[in-house]
Amino acid sequence: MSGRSLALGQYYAAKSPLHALDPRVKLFLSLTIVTALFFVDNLAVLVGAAFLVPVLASVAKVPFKWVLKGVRPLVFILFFTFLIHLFLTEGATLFAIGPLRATGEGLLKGIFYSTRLILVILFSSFITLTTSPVQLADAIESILSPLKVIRFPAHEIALMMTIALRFIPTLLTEAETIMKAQKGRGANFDSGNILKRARSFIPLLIPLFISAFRRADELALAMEARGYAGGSGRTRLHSLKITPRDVAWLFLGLLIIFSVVGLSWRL
Amino acid sequence: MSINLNAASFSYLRPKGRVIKAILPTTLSIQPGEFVAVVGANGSGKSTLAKLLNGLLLPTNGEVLIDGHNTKDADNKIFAPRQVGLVFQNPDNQLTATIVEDDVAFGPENLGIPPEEIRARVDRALKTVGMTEFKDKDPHNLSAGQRQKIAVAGILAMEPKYLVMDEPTSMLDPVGRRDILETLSELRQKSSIGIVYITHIIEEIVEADRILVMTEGKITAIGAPREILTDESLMEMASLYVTRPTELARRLAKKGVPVSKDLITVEEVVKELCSLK
Ligand SMILES: Nc1ncnc2c1ncn2[C@@H]1O[C@H](COP(=O)(O)OP(=O)(O)O)[C@@H](O)[C@H]1O
Ligand SMILES: [Mg+2]
Repeated sequence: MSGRSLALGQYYAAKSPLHALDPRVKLFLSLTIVTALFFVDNLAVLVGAAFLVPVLASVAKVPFKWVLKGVRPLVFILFFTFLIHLFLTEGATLFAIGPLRATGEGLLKGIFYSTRLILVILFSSFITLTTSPVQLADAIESILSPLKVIRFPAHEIALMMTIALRFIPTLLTEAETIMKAQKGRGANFDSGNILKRARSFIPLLIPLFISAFRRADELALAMEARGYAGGSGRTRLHSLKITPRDVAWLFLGLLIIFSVVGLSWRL
Repeated sequence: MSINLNAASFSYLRPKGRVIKAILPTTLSIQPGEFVAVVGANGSGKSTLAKLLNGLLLPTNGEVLIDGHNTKDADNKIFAPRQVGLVFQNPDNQLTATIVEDDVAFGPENLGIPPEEIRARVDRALKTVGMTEFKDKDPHNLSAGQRQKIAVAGILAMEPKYLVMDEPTSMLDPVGRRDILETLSELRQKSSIGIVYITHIIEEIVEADRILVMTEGKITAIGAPREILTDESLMEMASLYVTRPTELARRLAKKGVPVSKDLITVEEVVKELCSLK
């Protein structure tokens, strides 16, 4: 339960063109990529697009292994997707397990859909891999800021996001400590039926909640002591500005995406 | 230029109209460049005093003036934290960002300082606390002592004239504690920032300019370290312990060894003993 197991596309600090790219452009591009992937209906093109992942990783100066780590928490879902297609598609039987029939068409479809899913995960993980959470929150604030006219709390939402991200590992570590302490006193978290197990978490959750509220209280005080008085009048260390380089990358990205989709339709 | 408490007092209001007097009327002046230590038992009002000094709490009676500006004036809501920085006990509960430099920038950002100036201040502050090489790191992966240094940097980046620290070492291991103290003494040498340092570890404050002793909401004594730390009855009344060098000197004197009873540091005791022959 340590903070590290949360590594789903965790930020990897480096100096690369992708890190320098405006986070709003990154968000837009990866949204386009994910949409585009759903328009690709050709397995060969999909496999070809997969080769772009290591290329992107090397441009981003993120170790390829680190990128792949993002898929690990989702292996079960991937496997499940594959099995569903394998067994539930009509066609010529490959083999059978009891009443379940695996088909050749199912095998192809399974491979296709799980590859697509892997690519969606990998490509979108580049956002969080190359953008610090604060920058990401800034981007979201900036995208939502037109809504401020109708009193939508864009700044507050972005700040809440940043602070939540900041406290997740702290609270996880604390949960671990409390769990060990309770285990030391004979608590049992991993046996019994679901109801029993859920109940055994109450002595973990109550102290965790109390501590979280105390932390929130202290944090509010510390923020006030650091001059925080709402979003208006604040400046930013990294203020977002679209540069000609961002525009160039945007067009390059769109060009690659549309060529891949176009290719898949041509074939 | 100084922080002045003019007959300032503070009471917490409890539900059912019960009142807890946390600070009794007091008059006190803190100069820039000064190192004032505050000691006292738990619940003696040290944290309340700290919050009065930077306008987080406003005095119930009397007034607190920061360089002549009353913390009660509405215009000074940002002025007070800008002039008087406050570092809290738990480093975990004062950091706001997942990247060191983003956190250090939080204060200056609130003050509306232009980005290039924030950049310069963040770099300077991180250099002062010796954490430049960690500026891209996640504070969660640093030690508690390092996190506390980041918290100090976050305050220094606001460039306050006074720095109030509320038991900044009490949650740290000995290494982290020494780290913070070294940063502090360097800061005292290099700048003219006025420091109010709250602690319950007497060894940390033998070099203070003044020590302020609090008991049950009252400032019961103010004086030079030697004067305060060797005053047996005062220390006992405030439930404070005597440092080991003082204790040693006292025991030796009791046994008839001709040493002064007013020693407070190890060096002094060593010197005194070596001159005995
Ligand atoms: N938010 C609060 N509400 C009510 N009483 C408080 C509050 N904070 C502190 N006190 C009371 O004020 C007194 C002084 O507390 P504090 O300034 O925190 O002391 P110290 O920092 O020396 O331990 C204590 O009796 C404490 O119970
Ligand atoms: Mg306190």
